[in-house]
Amino acid sequence: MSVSTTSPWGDFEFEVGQCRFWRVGPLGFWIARTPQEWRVAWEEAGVEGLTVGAAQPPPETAAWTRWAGEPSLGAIRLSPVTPDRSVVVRPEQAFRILQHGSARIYVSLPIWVRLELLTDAEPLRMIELPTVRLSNTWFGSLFEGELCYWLATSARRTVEDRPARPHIATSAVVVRNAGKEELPLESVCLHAAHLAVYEDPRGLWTSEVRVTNSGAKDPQRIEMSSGPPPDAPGAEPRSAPREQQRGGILARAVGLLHALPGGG
Amino acid sequence: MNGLGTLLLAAESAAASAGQAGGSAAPFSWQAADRFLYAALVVLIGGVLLGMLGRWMGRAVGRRFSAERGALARKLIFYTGWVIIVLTALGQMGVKLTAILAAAGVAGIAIGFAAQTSLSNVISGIFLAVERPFKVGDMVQIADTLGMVLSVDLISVKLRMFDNRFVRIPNETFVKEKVINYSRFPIRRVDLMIGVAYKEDVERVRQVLFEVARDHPLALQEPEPLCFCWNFNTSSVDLLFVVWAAQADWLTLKSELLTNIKKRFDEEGIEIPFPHLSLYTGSVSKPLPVDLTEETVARLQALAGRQESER
Repeated sequence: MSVSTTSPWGDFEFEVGQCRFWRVGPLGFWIARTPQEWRVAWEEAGVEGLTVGAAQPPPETAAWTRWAGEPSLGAIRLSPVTPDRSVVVRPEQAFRILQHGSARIYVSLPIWVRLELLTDAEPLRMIELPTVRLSNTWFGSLFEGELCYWLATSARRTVEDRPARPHIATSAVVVRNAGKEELPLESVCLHAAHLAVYEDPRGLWTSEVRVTNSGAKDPQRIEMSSGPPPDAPGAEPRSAPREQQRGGILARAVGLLHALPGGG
Repeated sequence: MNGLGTLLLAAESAAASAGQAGGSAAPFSWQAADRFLYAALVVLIGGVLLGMLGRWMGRAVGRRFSAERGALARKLIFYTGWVIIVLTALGQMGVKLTAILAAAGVAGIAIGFAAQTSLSNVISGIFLAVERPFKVGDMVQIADTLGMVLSVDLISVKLRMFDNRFVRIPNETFVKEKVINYSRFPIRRVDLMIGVAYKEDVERVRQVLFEVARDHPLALQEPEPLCFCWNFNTSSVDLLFVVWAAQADWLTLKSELLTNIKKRFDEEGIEIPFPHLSLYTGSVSKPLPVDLTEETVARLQALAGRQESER
């Protein structure tokens, strides 16, 4: 894996006729500006890396997605954003949180790349590209729940373990058990739409998530930190949450992984 | 007296009433014109107000409960309201309502007998609206008809079949028959019966199947895929492989899983057997040997030549 200290995020100017290449983790994409159009093509490679705006021509077989019209200032903004659905992850090993206890875990969240065209007014959103194509999963019962993405990597108990990868943001989740029974923690549903993304020299971070469990059958209170997480206090904001929330949300975020019968 | 006679009496009564009001000798009377004008105003203003009330109530019920119940409430208000408006207008015109109502009662029974099926559908429509076994946009199957619900009306349910044919099914049928709603729950299971040759290692086959499901992005990882050894069939060991999908992805996932399983089995050298029959000469013997040696072929050719010459 090749890692550069240059950040792939920010505003990038294009001359007419220019084509530039980025690689963020396994995702590679080209952005080209022609006299009448903007074009984007992408590929998912087997290798990870970081390339920022290289003058690299696309392959002849590249399938371009094209935008006509010329309302732009000739620049594109690249931002890291959270996936468009919630993400379910298992801890490395299932554990239980004692009554009135709390636990902190860290989730490695593959980010999406948002491309926006800069104009005199608001930027125009062009496309969002997932750096990793995640599998689907279901969080809830057979009758109701939420379609989520499934993270193959496990949640960890310490931040030092986290790998430095350009397409991964670290999300800290603090689970507090205010219930009268132990809280088994076999899976965590990260409501990614409510998370902002930050960047510091160590990489990408998201808002910290705080989950309060009151009982096995009650919805859990989920709150997101308004600024960067305590693990990266100086991190700069890179993108706002997809959905703004005030005062937290009530939903299930932590639970039993095998609560659903698979067959029968 | 039958219903028609009662109606005729009511009409005569109305005519007499109008005649008395205006005077039988006079061809035109301002009093009668006033009554007609009031009746017209009742119909006009009542119709406008009824339309507004129906729309408001339909929206309110639709927001509170569902679009189907909203539509039903709007129609009930519409028809009930028009009955009241017409009766009020007739009253304004001097028609004796008691006679009309009596006639309507008798006519109602007659119409009830004549329109038994329609009334049954209307009542079934009310049951469907209350019970709500499906809603607009759901994929339902009744008998051999599978389609998406376009509307749930007072008399019938309209479906769009997947080859874009339009189907109208009476509400009564939905109350009487078994209805399968494929959209009721958000996730659905893909069941695949996979047959492999007896020589295959079943545990290894299961491992490959789980890998296929794990690698497909539309296959839900939770509820987790399961694989059961289901049957010793005549030519194969049958495995039931079940994978969950979001409702919208069910068909795509089923097709792609089958494609990917075939591909992986080919790569792994796992045989999907076709039906075949082995002949044994005894319980401990080997199958009957069939060996076409050069000598056998020569003898068969000679035999064929001799038969040809004898003809």
